[in-house]
Amino acid sequence: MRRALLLAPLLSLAFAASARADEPSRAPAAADAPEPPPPVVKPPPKEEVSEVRVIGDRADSFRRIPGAGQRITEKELERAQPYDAAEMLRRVPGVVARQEDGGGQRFDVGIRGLDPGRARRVLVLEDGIPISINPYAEPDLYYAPVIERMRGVEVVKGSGSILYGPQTIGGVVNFVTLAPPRGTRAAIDVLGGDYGYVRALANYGDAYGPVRYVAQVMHKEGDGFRGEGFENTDAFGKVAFDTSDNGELTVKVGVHDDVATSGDVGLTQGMYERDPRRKTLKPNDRLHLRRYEIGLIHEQRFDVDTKLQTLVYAYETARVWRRQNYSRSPAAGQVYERIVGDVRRTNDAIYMLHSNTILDRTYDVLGVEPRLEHRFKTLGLRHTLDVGVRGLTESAAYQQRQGDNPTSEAGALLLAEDHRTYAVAAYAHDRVGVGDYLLVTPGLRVEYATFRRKVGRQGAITDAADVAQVGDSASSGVIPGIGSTFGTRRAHVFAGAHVGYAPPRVTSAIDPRGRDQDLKPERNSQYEVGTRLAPYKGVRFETTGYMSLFTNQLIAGSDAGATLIVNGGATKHYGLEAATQLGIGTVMHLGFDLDLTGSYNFTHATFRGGDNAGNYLPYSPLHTGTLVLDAAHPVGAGLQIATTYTGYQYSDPQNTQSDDGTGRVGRIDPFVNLDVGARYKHAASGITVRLTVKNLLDDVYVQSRRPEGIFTAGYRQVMIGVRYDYAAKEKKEP
Amino acid sequence: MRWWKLTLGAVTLAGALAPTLGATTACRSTGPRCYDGELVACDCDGGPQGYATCAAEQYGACDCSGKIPGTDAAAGDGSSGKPPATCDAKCPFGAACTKNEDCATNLCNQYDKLGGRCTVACKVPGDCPPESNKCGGKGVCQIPQ
Repeated sequence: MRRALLLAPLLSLAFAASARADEPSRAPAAADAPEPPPPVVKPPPKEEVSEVRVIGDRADSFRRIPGAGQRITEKELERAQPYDAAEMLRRVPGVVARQEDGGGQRFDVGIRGLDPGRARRVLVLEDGIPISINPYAEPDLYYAPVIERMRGVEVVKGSGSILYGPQTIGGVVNFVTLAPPRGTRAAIDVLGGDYGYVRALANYGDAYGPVRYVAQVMHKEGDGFRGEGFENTDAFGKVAFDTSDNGELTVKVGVHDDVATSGDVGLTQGMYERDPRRKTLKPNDRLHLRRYEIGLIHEQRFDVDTKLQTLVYAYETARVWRRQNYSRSPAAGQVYERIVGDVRRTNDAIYMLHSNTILDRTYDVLGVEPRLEHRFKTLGLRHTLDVGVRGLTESAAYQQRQGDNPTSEAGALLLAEDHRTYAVAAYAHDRVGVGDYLLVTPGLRVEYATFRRKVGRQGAITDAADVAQVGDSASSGVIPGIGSTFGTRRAHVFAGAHVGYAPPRVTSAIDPRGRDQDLKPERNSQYEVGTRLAPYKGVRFETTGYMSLFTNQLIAGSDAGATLIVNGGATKHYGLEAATQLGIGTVMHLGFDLDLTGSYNFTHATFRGGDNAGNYLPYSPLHTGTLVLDAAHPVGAGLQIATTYTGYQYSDPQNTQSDDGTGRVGRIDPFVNLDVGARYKHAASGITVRLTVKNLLDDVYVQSRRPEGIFTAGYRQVMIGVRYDYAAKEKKEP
Repeated sequence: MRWWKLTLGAVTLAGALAPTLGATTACRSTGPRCYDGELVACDCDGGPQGYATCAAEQYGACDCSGKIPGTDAAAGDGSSGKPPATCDAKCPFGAACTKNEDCATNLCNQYDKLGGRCTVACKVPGDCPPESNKCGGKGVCQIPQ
């Protein structure tokens, strides 16, 4: 009780000080004038615990970030009932998100023309904590955030991304998980659909005095659209409690297990023409991923102007992927388990070998990041200074084995190697309020990382031998940036420039013999200018023009089917993003919500030199757009129609127009996704019933030609779900 | 009180879900068992491995002619799942191999998808034979597929 009494005035002062620091010092009388500082009263009940947000929920959050940003809210997630995270991300302008089979547990995300492959160019966070398997040495996203955990998604693309790292060349996507409630809350949710899809989840949260917690367990499984069955189980929990009068700790733990049939070879052109709905060619391939995570976020408020937030996190991702070996042409004397496709047609047949390759890898990450926020005034300027350092170590243990049959999990050891990274980063970011309308935010980030690659065994099937080859490499980067906004929270313009940085992958930086290849990190220069308008409640527009220049962009290539990162040369990306949100029901006083949201993105990403000068970057569609209409009546009924358009794109740097028969190269035609959903929530009982149809058109299309061949999407899936929510009256602060 | 409500909710939900799940799991997807002209390995009595050809969505009799049906390629001896080297002398670039000595290039590399193939160590694409012309990340030439 005494703690709360002490805390309440402190928090009140903090809110007031925050307003003083970031808002104008006086409130002009004009209608679009800056918001006056909130009155110094008792702060509203705090729902969120200590957490890292890249945008936040404040009314003026967007004005405070130095660049373009979008937020997907809890309400939008509830209404959309997404199948996976990619479905929501593709609604964000400038973002290309490729859904993959396997229950949505793997996806590709690209921003502003960057190659979306395994989201390597995008920094993906969950509650501010990176989730890629090794953020420095191998920033691939084999664990995709479980959308059922989330209550929001934030995307920052401008210079604000230098607060987070190491990747700053694309943008930051931060998934925000469920918060521990202040009173009893529980939910049971079951969903079933065709293709054998079943999903069940249960969560429970409560508060006992100063301790709040939430826990959720989810399981989903299905046959997959292409015969790639999957089973995912995810469990996570969060506990938040006070550590002192002015300190709070949030602990998050999670376990994720994902088993799926997952082939790396898609259809050839001939197979696609004969049956675009053909199931996977590699039913024996299986990917098993297991992830354990723990994260601690401690927040200590020293006074109304100063707080220290410290993140400590660790996670392990173990991935075993067995893949049947194959060839696209018969070799003398070779025996095959199956031959799919037409052997008489050029490049159509795929010769499946009896053997398989087992890629057994374990990745560990440990990070510590204290971040201090301090507000102060100098020379009449209001500063909000963020400074922080991050120490991170990561390791990877690779084993590659060859099995004698397509379903072998054992096999003979061909390759063993370990990677280790030690990295340290420091950053400072000062949001300076100049006068009533101008915020200028200069920032600087410094990255330094050392890499070690130790190869312990290598060779072919009969001559693999133990070796001891060790190589070291290091990479550093200085990442300056500046952004500014001018105007009020209802109408402002913003502009920014920053340097993008991405460390080299350790397998590219150090060759198998342990020699440092002296690969440079990727760098680009990014510029953007835009405006946001929110003239009325429920109405919002945002447009951003941007340009990004790479001196050498690394792109995904292929080596006999294995994905390799290769030099792509200089590239230039420019484009325009536009987003709008119209609360038609609010503006027209219809008595129910009728929201229309839309986004459009134009991206022109091309090679600037070399053999491919002028060609578009692979997997960078020129046009993408989204339109979502949602109606929600107070009686509890709701309807949503969402459509996404993805323009044509190429699969290779040469911009090959026509397929060569293998399905690996060629133009990818535009495609449209149309999802509809109806829902009814009976408020008195807490029961919600939903009917969702994803890809209503059932128009199967070529989504990707990667890793090897044509992968299709667009399968209609009808799902019926029932949810029960229980929410007790929230408990008052003691 | 809240536990009563929770229990009641769970029971209601279970009741509502039984028909839902029953209906959805019944909608499992199916497809053809095989596609016309495609081949699957089969055993031949005492001879090399043969192949059965798919017709009308099912595989026919085992073809033990010693060739891959529809091609002139030899079917292999089928004695094991491993690729035997059957080159007359040393195997050329790109041929299947099991050890370095099988190859004219004296390098048998294990590729992820292809298995053992004769190749050449390289640093730049120019080190590779014309049919490859690509130096892969492991310091060996890529094999054209």
